[in-house]
Amino acid sequence: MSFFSPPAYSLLCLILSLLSLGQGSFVLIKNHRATINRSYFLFCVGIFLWLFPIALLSTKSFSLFASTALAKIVFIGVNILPCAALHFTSEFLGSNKPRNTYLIVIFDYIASALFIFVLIFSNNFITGVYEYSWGYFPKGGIIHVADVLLVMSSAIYAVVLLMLGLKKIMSIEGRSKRYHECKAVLIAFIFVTMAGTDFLHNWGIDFFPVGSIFVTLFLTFINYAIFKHKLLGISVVLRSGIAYSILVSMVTALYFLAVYVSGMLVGDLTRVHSPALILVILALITFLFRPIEKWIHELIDKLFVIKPREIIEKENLLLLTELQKQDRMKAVSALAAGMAHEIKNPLTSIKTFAEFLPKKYDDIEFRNKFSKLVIDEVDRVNSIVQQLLDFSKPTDPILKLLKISETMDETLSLLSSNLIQHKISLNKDFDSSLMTMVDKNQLKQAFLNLLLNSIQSMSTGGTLTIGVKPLRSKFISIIIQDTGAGINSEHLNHIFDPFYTTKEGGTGLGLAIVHSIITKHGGKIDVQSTVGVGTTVTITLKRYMQ
Amino acid sequence: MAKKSARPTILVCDDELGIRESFKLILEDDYNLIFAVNGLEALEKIKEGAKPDLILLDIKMPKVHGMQILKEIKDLLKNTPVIIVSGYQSVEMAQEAVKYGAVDYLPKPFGSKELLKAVAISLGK
Repeated sequence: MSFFSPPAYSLLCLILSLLSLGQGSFVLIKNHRATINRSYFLFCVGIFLWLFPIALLSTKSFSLFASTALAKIVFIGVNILPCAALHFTSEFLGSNKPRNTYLIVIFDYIASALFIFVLIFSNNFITGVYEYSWGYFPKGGIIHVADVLLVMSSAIYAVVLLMLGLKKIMSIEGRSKRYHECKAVLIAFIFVTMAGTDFLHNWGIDFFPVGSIFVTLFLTFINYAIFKHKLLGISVVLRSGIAYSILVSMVTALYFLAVYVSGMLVGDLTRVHSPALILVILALITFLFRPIEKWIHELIDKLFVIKPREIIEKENLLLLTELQKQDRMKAVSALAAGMAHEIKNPLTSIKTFAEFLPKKYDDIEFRNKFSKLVIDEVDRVNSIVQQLLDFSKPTDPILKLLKISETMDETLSLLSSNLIQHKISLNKDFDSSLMTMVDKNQLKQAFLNLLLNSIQSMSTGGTLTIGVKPLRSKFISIIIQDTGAGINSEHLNHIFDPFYTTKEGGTGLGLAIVHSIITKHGGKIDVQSTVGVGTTVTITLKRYMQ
Repeated sequence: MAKKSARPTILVCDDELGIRESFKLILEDDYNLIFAVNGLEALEKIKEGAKPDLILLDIKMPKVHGMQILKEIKDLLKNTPVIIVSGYQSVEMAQEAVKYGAVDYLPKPFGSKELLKAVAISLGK
């Protein structure tokens, strides 16, 4: 008896076909609009149509007519594989492929469709089935030879394209993430091409059918590329997808095993299909479903060095906090230069008065003036430093009823030097009676980020107009208008997206933080902009009466 | 009268009380001082007939930028030297000030000797 006994080989093909279809479906569900995902799904459908009928054929339990029909379905799958593989490769390589690849992909689709047409209606393509010790297998006719040439040349061409693409990526990017991703895909496709050895069985050559083993290796490497390098951008979904594919396969295997063992024990195959036994097996599977699912998840995490989801979430949160801190520090450094100037004024007064102290020590008027002035100036320096510290270290949010105009004025005082430096005139139209319930530091940070953006947009000077006005009696409208460079409509749609930046060295978090702060306070933010004219930011907050 | 005319008049334009007091301490013994708390007030005083021999002008002031005031002062008093006094130690700003007619650029915090020297040089003493 061969190592690949009929039930074992059949089960392997069944598991692989289901795994492949499951994986392809998850890829498609993740992004059904992407051509690359669609072509990968088609490839997986090809594997399914190839291996699922093989699983049935291996049981040797069908008539010659039915087996020949199944053998034809096998070759529908086999003919889908090369064009889907070439299409996927072409999409995967993007610009790293020869220009005429699309024409070859189209040619491949047409040629495969023609072969499938001939396969269905001709008896010279699949002429029947061979019987091997490990199962039935399609028997190839004359047309089959031509088809094998097409399938193998397409598969080899896809591998060559990947090799050339890998070389090109290496020369441009070095050993980048993309390089490793391409390498894994290349290895996967080399394995699946080697599954072509199965064609030899179509001509009556008998040896272990290793094609399905190569499919296993193909799926393993594609999964490796997905987990390690986020191939197709579907790491998270596919993690669950693969876990469930394995789970489905294991449940199927358990079922078959239970049926097989029961058959051996009872010795009567008709009795194993009794409802009572099936119910017992299903109950067992239901009982084991959750523990197995958990175990598979842990195994996948362990195999692919993926940290548990909770740890990843925790790390992402820490990373976000760190990036927010960095963004805050950028704002602080922008302020620091201006604030240095603010500190120099009180320092000048203190220095002058200290210089004159020995000379005018007996002058009471001088001494009174000196003591008052120095204390006032030291308080000013302290206040400036404190404001800088407030920005540099986040504190827990404290909601307080406060006047918007005062918060805006305090923020503007931090930026007065920046306004001068950039030759920006300031127009203010504040209704100082308007109050709202907010965290002062957070609101100041939001104003600061918006004002810094406005100032930076007016590199050659301009006018900054700020309004704090009532809106429909229940709301407050805060308008920040600049005459800067403006934002084009393409960028305007993304300005609140985290990490979206057009500034060199920008974190892309400034406006995302503003958006987060305003929405957390139940407010709204709207941005209108015209390139070359300027930008108007309107914040709407709920008005509170004292 | 003769004594008064011998003492040059300096128009000090700064919005900070502490800075104006500092100028007063350093300069009042040798110079007549006129104070303006912002650029517009300085322009008003000139238009009203003030004829300072020297102007000390801060750059950072509310309402109108000091550099704009400098341009307008130079339109009214073409030959009056102007010293820019600022906390900004920016080469670009100093160059711009000179371009618009300033004779010197004094960074804050200044000492009394530096100020007296800059004033004396600007007045040709």
